Amino acid sequence: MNPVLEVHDLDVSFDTSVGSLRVVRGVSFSVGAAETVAIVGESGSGKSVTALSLMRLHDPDKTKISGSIKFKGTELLTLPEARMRTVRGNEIGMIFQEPMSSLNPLMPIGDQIAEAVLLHHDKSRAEARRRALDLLVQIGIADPQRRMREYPHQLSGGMRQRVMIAMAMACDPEILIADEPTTALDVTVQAQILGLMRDLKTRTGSSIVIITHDLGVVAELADRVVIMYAGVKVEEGTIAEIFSQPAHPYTVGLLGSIPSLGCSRSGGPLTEIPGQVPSPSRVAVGCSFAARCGLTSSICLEIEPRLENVSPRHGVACHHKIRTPVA
Amino acid sequence: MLYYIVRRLLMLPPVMFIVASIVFGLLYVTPGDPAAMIAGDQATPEEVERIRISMGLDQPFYIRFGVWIWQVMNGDLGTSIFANQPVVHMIGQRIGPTFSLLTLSLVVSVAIAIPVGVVAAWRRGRAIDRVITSLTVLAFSLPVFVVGYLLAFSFSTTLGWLPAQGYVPLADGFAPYISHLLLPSLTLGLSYAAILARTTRASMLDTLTQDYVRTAVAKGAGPRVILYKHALRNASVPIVTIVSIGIATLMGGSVITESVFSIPGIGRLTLDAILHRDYPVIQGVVLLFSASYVLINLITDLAYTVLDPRIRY
Repeated sequence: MNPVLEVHDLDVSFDTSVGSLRVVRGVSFSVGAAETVAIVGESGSGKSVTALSLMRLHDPDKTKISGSIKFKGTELLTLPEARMRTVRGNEIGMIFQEPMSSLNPLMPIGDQIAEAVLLHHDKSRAEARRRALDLLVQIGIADPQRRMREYPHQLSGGMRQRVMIAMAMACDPEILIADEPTTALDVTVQAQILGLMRDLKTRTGSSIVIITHDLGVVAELADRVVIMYAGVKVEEGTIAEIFSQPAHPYTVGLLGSIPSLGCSRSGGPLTEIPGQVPSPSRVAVGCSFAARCGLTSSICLEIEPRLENVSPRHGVACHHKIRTPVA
Repeated sequence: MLYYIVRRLLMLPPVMFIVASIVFGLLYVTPGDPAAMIAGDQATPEEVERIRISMGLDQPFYIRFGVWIWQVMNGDLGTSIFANQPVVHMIGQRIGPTFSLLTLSLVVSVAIAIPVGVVAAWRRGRAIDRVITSLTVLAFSLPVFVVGYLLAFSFSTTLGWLPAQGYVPLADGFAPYISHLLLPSLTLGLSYAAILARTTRASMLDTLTQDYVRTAVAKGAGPRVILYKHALRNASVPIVTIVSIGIATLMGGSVITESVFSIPGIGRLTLDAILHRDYPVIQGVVLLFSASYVLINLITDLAYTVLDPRIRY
């Protein structure tokens, strides 16, 4: 099966006043049809930057992107801007972290959803509005006729994120990119949004790339997981492999920092990963996780580990792979 | 909403009263005697005194003020000392040219400044942005009379494309009406357009970094939709504020512009009245300006509610 999205050796750097910052370094992953891939990492790991690159949403004047992003075989990085516009919102939909500020405050939400339809389809305003209404029903908004005419400030955060999802799904995209879609929401609302996304996925069969730091979200939604650290992919595998046999010390650390109810995974108290993600301006030689890792040896400080497979779909970039399941 | 409008309109009389008092008081303390001006250089002190008494200028301050306010409340702005005509009548004659001049300046400035500001913001830091930014500094720094004479010299005297003097009412045909107003409007509107373009640029730069603009890009919207439908609408509140504040500047500038282009409007009337110490005319004009300004402010505040559904009074 051909992947819908293939990212190869993606490199993103930003021009800043202090020089060029390389925030994503050689990241590769692919997303199959109807597959959900989670990109997981702490703040500053480059996961959101990666997501925005997929749609080329960075300021082209200040960003250098190299590598390859292929969507159904078409290279997106070299696509002319006018052609890229027919991909955005139409073949790839995107929802963002901040539902509060991501909707235009001066436009009724019905118009905002209808606009997504009108931008890509030769439809009348009335048809587009019917489609918008239909989408509002699908995402479970009560009294959709009235909500159509309401402005974002009249809706709750959860409802706004539903509207964002409706907007992203308006043209039945092949891929939905969700950049931390639940981070800004209350826990109960988070569960509803995740449920809605799972629901839509089974109904429309679209692929999802979800960016998150929340392994709970990953467990709810993902088929495969890409773990990022300091701009690098450090581990990749199916959800079962990552949760039961994490091989990178960082992944182990992430898993150890989630509280669990009932059958506790480690049986012990919550652990944390000491320190923080290094700033991209000070990336040293060797493994970027070395400063925070418990297994660091001299090789870690000298040579950057390459990604090696421990099983057909499970890859790890570490000199000291953990082979025993944490059980 | 209606309650708000009524409340604002009720504020009009007290504001006008305060303005009227200040203007009246100011003229009372400024040197210069209209009676002496009317009587002329050869007049004897007795003649001047006689004129002064006939005009009621010998009365104490509070009586003159009281009489005047009473007249104003009855819709009578008094009689011009110099022209010997009712002030209301004189203003009525002169308001057409000034209204035309202000309106056309406003339309031309907004029509130029907004697209220019939007383009500068969109292409920030590029050559076109730098050119626009430098030109706005230049336009803003040039005094109205310099711009006026420059434009009159180039487009009238040298090229002969447009008339440099006078005013033709709309009733005499649209083409002569517009051709007489074009240079004055450009003159008056230039520095105003410069401020407006700068405000538009700044406000647009702010909205272009907002999340909803990124959402619009992610939807697949092109630059036109992003700039005008999403960003400019959101940038419009500060722009409208500057438009409305600028109208006061335009009113002030119309005094000079009308003199440069010999337009028989309120500005000229004001200037002549000041030179002649024609108190009733000055007071009438100032009251007119301040009333218009209060109304413009009200309209601006109401415009906000149309532009932004989150603003409610």
